[in-house]
Order: sequence, then C-alpha cells, then structure tokens
Amino acid sequence: MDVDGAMGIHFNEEIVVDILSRLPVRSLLRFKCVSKIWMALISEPYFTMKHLKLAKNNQNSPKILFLKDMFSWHLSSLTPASLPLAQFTENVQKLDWLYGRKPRNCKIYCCCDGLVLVGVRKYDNIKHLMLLLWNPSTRESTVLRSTEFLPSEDYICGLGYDATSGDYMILKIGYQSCSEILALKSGSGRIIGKPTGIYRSWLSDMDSLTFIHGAFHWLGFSRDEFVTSYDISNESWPSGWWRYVQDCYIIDLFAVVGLVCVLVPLSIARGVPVGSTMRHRASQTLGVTGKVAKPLAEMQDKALYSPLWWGPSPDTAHSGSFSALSCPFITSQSYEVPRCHIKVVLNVI
Amino acid sequence: MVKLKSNDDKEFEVEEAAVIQSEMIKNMIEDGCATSVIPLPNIDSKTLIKVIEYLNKHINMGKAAETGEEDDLKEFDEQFVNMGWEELFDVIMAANYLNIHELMELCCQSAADRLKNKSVRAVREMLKITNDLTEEEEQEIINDAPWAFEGPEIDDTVN
Repeated sequence: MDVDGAMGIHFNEEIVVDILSRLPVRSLLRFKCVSKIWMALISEPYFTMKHLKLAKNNQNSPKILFLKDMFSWHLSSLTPASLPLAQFTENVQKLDWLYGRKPRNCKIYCCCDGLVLVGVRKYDNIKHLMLLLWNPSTRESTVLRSTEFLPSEDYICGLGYDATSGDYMILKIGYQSCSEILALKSGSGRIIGKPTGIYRSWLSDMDSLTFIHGAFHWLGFSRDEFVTSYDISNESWPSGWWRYVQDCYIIDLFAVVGLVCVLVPLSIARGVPVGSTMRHRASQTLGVTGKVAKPLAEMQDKALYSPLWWGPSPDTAHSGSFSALSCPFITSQSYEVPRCHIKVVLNVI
Repeated sequence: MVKLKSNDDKEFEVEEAAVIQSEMIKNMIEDGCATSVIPLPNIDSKTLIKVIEYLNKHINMGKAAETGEEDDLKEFDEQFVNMGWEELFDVIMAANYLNIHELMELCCQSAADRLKNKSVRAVREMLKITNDLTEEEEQEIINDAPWAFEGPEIDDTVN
C-alpha cells in the first residue's frame, strides 16, 4: 500500500468504485460528504447502474417493500433466495409517507428496478389522482406531469425498462381515455405514444401491469383472451405463451424473479385441466415432486389460491429454483382476498 | 513451479495451478514471459505471503463444490479477511494488480462491510482522505437526505 500520512491511501478510482458499489444507499448518501471526488463518483449515472446491477444479484440487499393498512395488503418483494419467515419479517422496512401527512388513499401500481409507481389521492382534492414515481431507497419522489387523462379517472399502470431506448416507460390504460405511453427521461413523464386497441383488465381492482422481458402483461378485458401483452420496444402484441392456461380461471398475474406468475384457484391447480406441459410444471410448482420449499407446501392446504410460475414462453419456462420463490407467499396469508399483491422491487438506488 | 519476487527482494515459489488464478501472471506464462523470476514491484513480502496463502487454498475452486469443501472454503475466506485495515488495503491493491477476481471480490466486500455504518468523519480518517468540500456544500448534501446522517447504528470509531 502506498500510504504516507499526508497523502492518504492511494486507491485508484476503480477500486473505490468497486468498494462503494457494495454499500447500501443510506451509506452512499452519507458518504457523498466525504470529499469532492466521492461525491462526484457516487452521483455518476454509471455508478448508479453499477450499483443497481450488483444489488439485483446480491441476496442481502433489502428488496422488500411493504405497504400496510391501505386497502388490502400491498406487498412488494424480490427475494432471490428463500428467507426463513422470521428473517423475512425483520427485513421489512417501514417507509415514510411521501407527503408528511398520510394521504386519503394510496395505491402501489408496480415496481421496477427499485422505482415504485404510486397513485395518491389527497384529502384536500380527492377527485384528483396523482401519479408519483418514488424511490424508497433514497426517499425521493417526483410527481409525474398530468397527462391527457382525466384527473379523476381511474386507470391501471405499468412501469418497465425499455432496453432499446435506455429509458423507463409507463403504460397507462384508462376506462375512457385512450392509452398512453410515457417516457421518464425528462424526469416528469413525456407522452411518446398512444397505442390503440388496448383494453384494461376485466378485474376492476387489478391495478397493475406486470412488466417482464420487455413487455407488459395483464389480464385482458375480454374473457376469451385471458392474458394481454404489449411489447414496448416493438410496439407489438406478442402472443402464445399463455395459451397453456386459457382454460384456467386466472385470478392474478405478476412477476417474480424473471418469471411470469399467475394465481389460479387451488382446486384447478391440483387438477390442472390444461395442456400436459402445464400439468407437469404445475405439479412441480405445487410441490408434488418435492421441489418446493416447505413453507409453500404447507401453505397449499390453507390457501384457496395457488400460484403457478412459468417463463415468457413454455420453452423457456423455469422448472428449477422454485424454492427460491416460495417466500413471498408466506406473508400473504389473507388468501380469502382472492388476490395477493406481489410485485417486484429490483433495485435499491 | 513459478517464482515470484516481492519488492523487498524475497522470492516465493508457487505452484503454477495456484498462481494462474492471477490473470496477470496467467497471461505472462501464456506469453512465455515467465521463464525465471516474476518481479512484483508493487507488493511487499508480507502481503505476498497473504496472497499466496489465498491462492493455495483456492487452488481448485471447481473441485471444492464436488467434494463438499465449500463450507471449508467459506470459513477460510471469513478468517482470511479478518485482518487490519491497512493490511486489507494492501491485499486489495495486490489483488487488483495481479488481477485475481475472486480475491478482489472478497476483500472489497469486507471493506464495504466495515465502512457501511461508519460516520463521514470516521471514513475520512480510515482512508486518510482530506475533506475538500466547503461547509455550504457539505450542508447541502446533508439537507438532501438528513435521515442518512442520523441513527443509532452510525459508528464514529476508527477501526
């Protein structure tokens, strides 16, 4: 080491970045105060990306977002490893309200790379639905510019990262207005497209669009097409992968660790009146082959609804590592509500 | 066997299988530049001994998984980074110079773990960094996220 008292430790920038990128956001915000160089390094977009990449893969970084006492349970999580129940509870972080005072109601639409899209109605203007982008790790939030939607209109939203443009995108689908795609680079949301022919969910309380592998997925409006997908990069409608569950009554759809998941009533999942591929996969998912961690297996008896997992196409479906996915369901014990809100927080900064 | 020479002129013999975990030395050997002794002008003998200890233990990473020695290796790693600050930084510098990816990971993670809960003052002192921010600039950073500067876990000690 090259140390002499006056000169300091001569780490090159690369090593400093390597060490800093392993720190939690809270430490990083504090260490901006260390020196000019540290402040510059930590503020670099390059550093943010590096930190995100590392946090995604780090099993120890906090990834669980829990919003209790609003409607039903709002729970967001990414648990790449199975956590014991006790640890899961410990890892839940309490988060401050965005605007000091608790809003009248608040809805987490979805999470992507640690950014959370939240809809808020305040007491002083209950008709106005405000859309916020929130980073729980830095506790920063931005109100998204009003769009052409009626302020009072209810809509469903999805947040995703478009690798083609390197930007985060929001897809909004309303009851009355046409759909909008917003790009976030400007900071407050700029309308860049208005896809037509999109129907919102037939479930009135299905409040988010699931984003995975470059496309949004949700339960479609029309009953004979259960899952609707929209690819933001190609502005197209990929199709096919969900035909395996066409005969299933899907209750909810969400993403966990790179997989599309649907929630179906357990009675159906047990019998699985669908194609053989699905049956095979479902039996694995449900622990019949012993691949699922114990907590999930125990849940099965109590639960009326059961999750099924698979990838974006049947060929790429995951059949391993289901144990890793069992954790989020442990906390969703209120299964009498036919849905559980499980969303994915992928990042910390 | 490959001979390594530290900057205080001590020579160490290391098995080739162990030493090629260093990308730098691996390249030297492949290019035929490692016929006699490899001088390492940036590494002192104390640090080099630590690095060689690591390389010898991790000689067959792939095999460890097969023979169930993973736990053993994990324990070794935990013990290995149990060293003083300055020693740890010496090893980081050496791992960086020799380009030993796994060792770099291990030591940088250990450094991060030690810094995580430190106060700004403690970090500056541990890394011997002179504060060049003005008081106003510092206050601005604190005002942006005051919660990051408060909390019972924040540790002002230097060790």
